[in-house]
Amino acid sequence: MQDPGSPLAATLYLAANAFWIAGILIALPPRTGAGHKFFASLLATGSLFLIASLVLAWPTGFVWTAPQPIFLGMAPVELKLDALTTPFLLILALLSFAVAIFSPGYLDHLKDRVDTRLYWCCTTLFVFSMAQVITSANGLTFLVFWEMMSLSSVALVMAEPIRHRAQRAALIYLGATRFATALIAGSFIWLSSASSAAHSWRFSDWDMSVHSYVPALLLFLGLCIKAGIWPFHIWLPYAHPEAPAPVSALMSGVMVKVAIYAMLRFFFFLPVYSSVIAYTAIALGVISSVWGILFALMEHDLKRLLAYSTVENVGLIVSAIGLAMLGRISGQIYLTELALAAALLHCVNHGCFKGLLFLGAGSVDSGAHTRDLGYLGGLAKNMPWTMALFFIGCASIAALPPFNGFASKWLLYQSYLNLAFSSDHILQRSLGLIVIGIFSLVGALSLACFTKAFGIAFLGRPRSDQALKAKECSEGMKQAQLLLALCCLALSFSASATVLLFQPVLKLLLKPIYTAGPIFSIPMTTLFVIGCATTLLIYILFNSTRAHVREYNTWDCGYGPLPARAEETGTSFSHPIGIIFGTLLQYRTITQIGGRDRRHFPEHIAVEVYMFPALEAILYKPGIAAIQSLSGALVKMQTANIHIHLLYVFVAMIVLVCVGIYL
Amino acid sequence: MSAATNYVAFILTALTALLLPPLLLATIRKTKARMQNRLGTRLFQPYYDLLKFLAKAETVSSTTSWVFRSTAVANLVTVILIAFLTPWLSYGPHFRDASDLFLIVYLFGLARFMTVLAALDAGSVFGGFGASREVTLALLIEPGVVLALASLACVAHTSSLGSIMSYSLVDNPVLYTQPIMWLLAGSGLFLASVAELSRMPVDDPTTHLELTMVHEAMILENSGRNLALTEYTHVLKMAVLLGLSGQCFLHSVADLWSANDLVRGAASIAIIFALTLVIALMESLIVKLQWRKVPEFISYAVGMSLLCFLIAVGVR
Repeated sequence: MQDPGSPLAATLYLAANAFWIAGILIALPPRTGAGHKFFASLLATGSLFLIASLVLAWPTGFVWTAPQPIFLGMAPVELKLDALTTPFLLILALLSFAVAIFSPGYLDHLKDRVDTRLYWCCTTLFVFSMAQVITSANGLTFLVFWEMMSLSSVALVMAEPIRHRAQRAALIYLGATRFATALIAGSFIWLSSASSAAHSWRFSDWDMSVHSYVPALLLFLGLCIKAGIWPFHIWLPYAHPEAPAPVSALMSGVMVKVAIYAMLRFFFFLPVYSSVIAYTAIALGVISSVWGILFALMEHDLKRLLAYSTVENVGLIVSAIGLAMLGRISGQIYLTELALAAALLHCVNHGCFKGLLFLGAGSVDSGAHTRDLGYLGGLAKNMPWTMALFFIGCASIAALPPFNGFASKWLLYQSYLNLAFSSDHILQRSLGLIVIGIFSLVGALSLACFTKAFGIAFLGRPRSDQALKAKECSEGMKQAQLLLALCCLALSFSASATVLLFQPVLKLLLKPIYTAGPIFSIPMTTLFVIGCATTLLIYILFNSTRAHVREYNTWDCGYGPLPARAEETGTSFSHPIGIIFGTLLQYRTITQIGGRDRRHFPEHIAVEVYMFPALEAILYKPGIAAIQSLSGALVKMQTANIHIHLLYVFVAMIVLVCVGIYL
Repeated sequence: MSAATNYVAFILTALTALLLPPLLLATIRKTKARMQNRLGTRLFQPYYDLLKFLAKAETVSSTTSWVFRSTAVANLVTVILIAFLTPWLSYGPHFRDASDLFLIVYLFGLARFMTVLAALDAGSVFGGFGASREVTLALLIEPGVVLALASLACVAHTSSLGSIMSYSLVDNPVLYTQPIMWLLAGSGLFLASVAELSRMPVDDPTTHLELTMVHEAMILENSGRNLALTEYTHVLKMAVLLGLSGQCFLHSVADLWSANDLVRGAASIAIIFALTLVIALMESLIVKLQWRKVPEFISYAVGMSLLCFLIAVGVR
């Protein structure tokens, strides 16, 4: 073992991995006697060890190379922990700890529908491989664990294999993740064969500035697919909701961040001076944020809504990274630092509140047995804890001050404003202001989206029998959500300290040009304290004389209580916005009114809302059709006749010999 | 600005925020009444109304949760914070970091979030309608507001509204030379405020015809003290928003940059009343727009902001 940093930190990190590997191995045998508590505690202990290791290793980190028998053919298993990996590992540790507490209660609700052994094996493997992807120090280690991460999550999407939707989601996800891996592997092979030390797989030997755009572009595309950036995001809203809720939390909270991490790692640590990638990142990021939040708003499945909102948030992060690249190319150091701080803080924030919201959705699912907003409503009465914690998540993700989402959104706005006034090009200045305008639209849309998610699911009257009889989640599930909600609150009030904590990361990424680092200058805690004091004052002023408060029915125009069917539904809530963005969303409403006197006494009314998936139809259908017809043609070669196949072998051999002679 | 002047500014702002807003409502009502050849109510009627609501018993729907019950107070506190942070009066206290434009826009967002949730909380049909329309309006308005303010911020090289609107040649030598930009930003903000404040032609605050209303539909369940706080919050918001666009208009007058504080303060109050009168005239002369036509109205506000943006990119 070789480590310039803390040896204790490395040991703790390996111990964390040992706990996870134990979890995977014990879950493997078919008839294992161990229960949920056992696997959960292994996962949770591993996460705690990881946190301890991160604290000890901050900010120098350590390097660890696996001893000899473990070897990947061309490169050893090499792990390296430094300042950049720390924020990402921290979200991973936090979320996997929360997931470990949450899962036992959640699995009880799923009962026989999910193979618990498979669940624990794959979840632990998923967490384990994500940690190794983040720490990997060479290309082969990265690819091996990247594959483990992708495949274990595919298996988890299929955790309920009976459902047709799960099968379809897993297939789409598998396709997307195959493509991502192929692109990344291609880029890695290119980079390693052209590295300074010939055929070195180590990241530190690679130099991306020397070569053409090709490997950088391949890598960028591959990472965009994994991060769920428009137009490669289509797998995300299928895959994330189909997995069990804790896994969705891990996928949305951490896995997409792994792709973000890789972007930071490769496009900053290795000097890439390409404005093409920078502008592409900004453009795709901005489009993803608008697209993601619009589709989230139209969604009526709580988990799909959250998945689309992940597309939005990842878009914000990627646009910040693009801006940082642009700032670095044009030498605007403060701008670069602001944008990077925004990206990092938003990664951490999004990990916390998206994890919280997905766990909340899982809690709703287990309590009310549905996550369709059309059947929910009025859960505030039966699920007070879930409701309060979900409220914190919604306020955070809608970036409302003082909650934590605001700090990173503020840094993002500041960085674009900085571009608008510090750049020399008129086009860059306009870009800065235009993006600010678009982000304010995104902000308003996300407010609409999360008032819908929270208001329709938890407030008002129950829209179905299931919602009426909903039960509060179990203790463990409650504690997991409470943990993440507390993290959100802690991040809200320590935003300026957190931004200062990122300084070593920024120093690492911008080694030669780093200056002072940005600060989050809004005195949020002071404002919050003043707000609380004012609240107290108003409360004392107006509640000193107790006026009579009467509880009564909701106003019904004197007709008597209206049925819950008369309430606003999720679909009708977002209907005006659907009409405004009708062309983009391909939003259609079909209204049928029937009966003899349909004008005055309609006998039946049916309204159907339909969204044509234009992106899939235009962009993906032709490609998939081409692959299918190609494979159809190839099928003809398979004659199932041994002589013909022997002929193929013979021809192939001759061709190979000829090629060999020629070369 | 020294600590002593800041205290005086603080007290003056507090007094203005407490006394001015209901008077604005009274001005609108009185003007409308006179335009319709009615005598109208007493000038101080809105104050009496608030006192009356405070004394009344309150009816709360049994469907509601803590969200509904805490919204009125939470919104009042948020808008009070905004009133002290935003430079809507030339003599307001000066907080450099906390008067950030993005903070203020998102604080308005916080108030909207709570209002919309409170509207959904009772499970009434009207509340849902109002909530849905409110978020739609918000997403149309917000880009215009942010773009106008961000253009000013871009020229001033800071996002602190306190610094942008400080009549200080040291802080903003460039903005001094751009009266057109201030006028455009002011009109953009004013048009957006008309929509945001649920006035005609976007919303009709005086009817109770459910199909047409936005804000009134959302607060249909409020009564007693709750209603008093909500109404006061709404008029305070009106004063702040009109004051903000008023400040933009005032900054376009070069003489005011060198005038003394007293003149500027008087001008700040005067412009708020002037804009209130414009609203009253609009409400008397223009009919309410059909809900589907509202985006067209708001596009004027966004158009003003876009022109403002073009100037900002040009002058830097």
